[in-house]
Amino acid sequence: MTDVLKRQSYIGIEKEKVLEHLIKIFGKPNVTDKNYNLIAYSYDMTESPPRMPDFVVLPKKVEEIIQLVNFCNQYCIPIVPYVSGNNVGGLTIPEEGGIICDMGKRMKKIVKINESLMYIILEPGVTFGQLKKFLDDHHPNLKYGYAMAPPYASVLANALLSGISNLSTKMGSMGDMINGLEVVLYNGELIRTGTSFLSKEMKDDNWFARYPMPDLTGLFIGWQGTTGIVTKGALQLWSRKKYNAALMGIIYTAENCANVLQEFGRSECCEDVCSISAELAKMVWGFEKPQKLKEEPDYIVMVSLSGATKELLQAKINYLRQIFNELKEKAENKRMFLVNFDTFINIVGKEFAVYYNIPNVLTPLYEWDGLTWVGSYAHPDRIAKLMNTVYGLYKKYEMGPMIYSKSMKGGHYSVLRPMVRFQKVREEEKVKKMMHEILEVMLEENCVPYKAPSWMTEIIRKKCDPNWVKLLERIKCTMDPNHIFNPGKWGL
Amino acid sequence: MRKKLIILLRWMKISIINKPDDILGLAIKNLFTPFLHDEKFIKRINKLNRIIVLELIDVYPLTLTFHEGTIRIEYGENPDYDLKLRITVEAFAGIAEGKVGLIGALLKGNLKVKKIYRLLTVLKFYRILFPAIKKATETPILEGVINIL
Amino acid sequence: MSPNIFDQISKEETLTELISIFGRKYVSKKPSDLYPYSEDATESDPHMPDFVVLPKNVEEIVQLIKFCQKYSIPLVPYISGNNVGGLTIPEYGGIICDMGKRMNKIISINESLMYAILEPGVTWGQFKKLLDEKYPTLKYAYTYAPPYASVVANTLLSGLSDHSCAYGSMSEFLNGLEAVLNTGEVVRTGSCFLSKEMKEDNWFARYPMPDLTSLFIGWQGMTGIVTKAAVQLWPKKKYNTALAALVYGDKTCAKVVQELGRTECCDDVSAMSSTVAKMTLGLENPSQYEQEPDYAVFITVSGNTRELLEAKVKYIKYIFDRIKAQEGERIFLTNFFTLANLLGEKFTIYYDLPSVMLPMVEYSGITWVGTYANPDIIGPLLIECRNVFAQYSRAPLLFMKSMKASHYCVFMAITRYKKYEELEKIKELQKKFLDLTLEYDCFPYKTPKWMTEVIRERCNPGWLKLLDMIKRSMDPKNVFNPGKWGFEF
Repeated sequence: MTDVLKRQSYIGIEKEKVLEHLIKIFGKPNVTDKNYNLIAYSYDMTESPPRMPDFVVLPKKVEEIIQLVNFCNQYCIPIVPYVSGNNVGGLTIPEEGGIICDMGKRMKKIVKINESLMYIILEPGVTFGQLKKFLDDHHPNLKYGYAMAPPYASVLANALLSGISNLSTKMGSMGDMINGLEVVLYNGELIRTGTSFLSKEMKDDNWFARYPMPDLTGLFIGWQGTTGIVTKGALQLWSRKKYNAALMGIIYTAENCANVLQEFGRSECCEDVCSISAELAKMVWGFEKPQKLKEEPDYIVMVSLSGATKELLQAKINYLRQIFNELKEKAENKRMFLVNFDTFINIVGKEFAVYYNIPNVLTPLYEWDGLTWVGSYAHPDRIAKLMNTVYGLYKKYEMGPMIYSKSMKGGHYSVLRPMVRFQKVREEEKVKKMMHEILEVMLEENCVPYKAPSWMTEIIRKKCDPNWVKLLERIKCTMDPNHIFNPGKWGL
Repeated sequence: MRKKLIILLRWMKISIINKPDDILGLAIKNLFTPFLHDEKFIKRINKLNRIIVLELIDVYPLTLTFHEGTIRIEYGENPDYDLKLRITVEAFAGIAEGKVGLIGALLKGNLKVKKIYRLLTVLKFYRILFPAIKKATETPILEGVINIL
Repeated sequence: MSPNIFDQISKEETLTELISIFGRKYVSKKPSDLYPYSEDATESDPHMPDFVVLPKNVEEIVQLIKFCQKYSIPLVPYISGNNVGGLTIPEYGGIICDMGKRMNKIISINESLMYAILEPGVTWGQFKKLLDEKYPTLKYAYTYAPPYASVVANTLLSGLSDHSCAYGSMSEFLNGLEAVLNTGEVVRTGSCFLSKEMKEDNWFARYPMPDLTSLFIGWQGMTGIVTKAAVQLWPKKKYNTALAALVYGDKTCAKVVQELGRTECCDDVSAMSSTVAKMTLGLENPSQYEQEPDYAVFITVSGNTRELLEAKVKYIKYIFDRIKAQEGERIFLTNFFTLANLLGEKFTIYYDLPSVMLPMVEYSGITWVGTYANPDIIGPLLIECRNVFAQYSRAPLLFMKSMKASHYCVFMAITRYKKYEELEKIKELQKKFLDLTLEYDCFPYKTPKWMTEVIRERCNPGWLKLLDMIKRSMDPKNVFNPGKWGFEF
């Protein structure tokens, strides 16, 4: 167990009594204070420093969470909400000890689906794989936006952290797919935001919109679990179209790649337009530290689109070809090629399909024990410059460039994600330095990191509007006066 | 003297003597209004003293009463009509867009005429209504909008 | 009895202070100046403010807020008063902060990132003109509102637009904003937060930081005064068309709107009862004949290529024909252009937005119960609303719009009336509509005070407590637009 850190916790209660109380709430099999259980929650694959929790609990029902929160609030015990720990940002590492509330193991029901209004109500533990299977098997007319994440990552966590998906080029951040949330507040109050608020008892059949009432849903989006514990979310689904296509751009130069991303995004024909650096592409073939050879293309752009009719799909493809040809015409380096994704993988190998068939375990990303990134929302017209600068940093630190980018919400903004996989014991210090430098470059270009770990938010806080920080703290104090929810994140 | 004055007035303009309050009636009024001072139109109206029913199939009928240079547009069907035209909505829109002609609509069965033996009346009415439709639709109102259907 | 809001400072001293902030020309306490702010076209009860001020810049607003907070004087943000919800009527008097007159700059347009930074007073007409003239490749989403209504207000109040079918509520178009808080601090939310001084080139996204923008959306000015907003623009497509459908049957119309919205081919799918259409053509109290179509549905579609546009329209037609076959009802699809030509130029107001819908503004009173609704229940709701209109011998003015590919829709029961003759009857009518829509789990937007009172009694108590918590945090003295959402002064 940890010693009590910075702020005062466990006020008026001993840790042994805490264990007793937790067992009363959750039952003995669902509580642990054993180091060999706790250690798994003390770190993740990122460079964030490990910190041990004091307890782990596995809740099954909302009522248990309410009791937990009431208890923790009374004695100022930190609670860290946890689902699958795949956030690549150290967001579930307990900065100040306390209790890990692992909802991933037992709170994973798909509560309800409304086909007509196209939304689904999920508990936090529902994974991408589980959701996809459920929809494919039982509701084949509907789909969700899947992240390039393992199938065991949490759907709701991704949405709450403004994650991205294979519908983001069309619809934007996953934060905008949230119709409403059910949350346990610091005082044990259970609330619902979004249209489901309009009934005294909690009804599941009216959770169809986030607006137009005062927007309380935003109090839990991007907050990294520091304002309450989300126990359910209503998320938007979309119609699955009959005809689907995937294209692939083989692109030389970052400038060309950035232009393709931006213009394809703006075409409003694509559901997803993203790019990966050549080295990241080559990793699927098992190269440990793949090098891009001189004449090899620099980036691969992957495009998914669909249409309710063949004509619609064909018309979209024709338009994309037109754009591509126009870009090629104007480009300095004219080496850029657009092909069918299917043709490409048939030629180069089916391993490549992993980038399309998501959710998926992208083995290259997980076969080492360390993975981190500085994922940011960025200006589309600065992507090329960023790609080149960041590429230089990879070379400087002798790491394989793993650069991922996506066009978002019709080209209004982009996501840039320079990733690093590394061997924790040997390379962690080097990676930390590298991440710092990458962050500096991104912030210089007005990028806003998402799923930002504590070390990043510390830097961001110093750079940003001080009044924004004050407002952030004010709301935090309102929502969590005793600072029990995931303390330490965003400097709170 | 009075009779001469009436005839003179009749030749100067046509009047729609009621304000229709149904959609189709309002549309017909809209179509005719620009022509109320048009010489050719006035001549044609004056030669047509008939009760004509225009029905959009599956919508509703409208009765147009042409009498001594006046036009009355009324919702519903006057059973004492002299002529009745029944036309599909698609054919009506098609005529408006210049894609379909009267004969074409007749031959395809999209336009049916009751008391068609009153051929002259048919022709007279056609020469009144359909140029009005054509005129209304020849200048696009909406900029930058194309007709796709 | 209304509290005495000038118990800590006299009215005269207040006037002196306001003049020192704004200048004599931009402050008034004359009843003739105050009267227009005391009421609007709705049935909301009138209340006179004590002062009106016309700020020019953020610094003046900062001083104003500090002053009002110090002496607990109610402060009501105002732009054009066209919200159809009594939201700018000062429930407890105080000061109207009218930003519509002098804070109406379009600060910048970022073509590449497709957003515009606006002051609150920027109107639809002003915005459209600038875009059409200087940025013809970009468009915003326009609403069924007069050209002199405020863009920012519509966004903050989760209004609708002619692209709502594609993109949803106007609140989803917001990248970020600048607001003055109760402390007088000026805060920026959204990606523009990431710099100490304000920069114009980084207002490109609302996320991914903690979503503080939400503290000002749907709050009716109760949490601070918004002084700038960044709204998303969209590329203007080369090919555009508009379709119109004439539909018989309430349930059929609901189905048409829902299914066409779901195609994800339409920018806008809106339906209105034929009585609304007839009003546009000049009929004062139009009735509907038995055989007349019940609704007119407007559909706008666009595409970057002709091929795309044709493919979309073909698919829309296919869906339309399928509904026709399934429902067995009479429904007809045609080009909007054709219908507009037949009915007259006035009809184009439904396409050529923003526009003054004369039928809506030619009487002294206009009001509605406008709600976000579940598309599945709209059919029966329409029927019930018709009955209510019939009970009050009024032409049914019904409107619905598909939102975000029919994930939800907006439904409105509209009433225009003669304020000084029919007010009590209209209040009764409104109450009936509200009860009906709440029964169907619809949620009203731009809710006037009397509606929020009813809603508060029905909703989740935990939600109310959280609302209360946030309001107390953002405005402990309840100076910002007190009286709205049940926050009594």
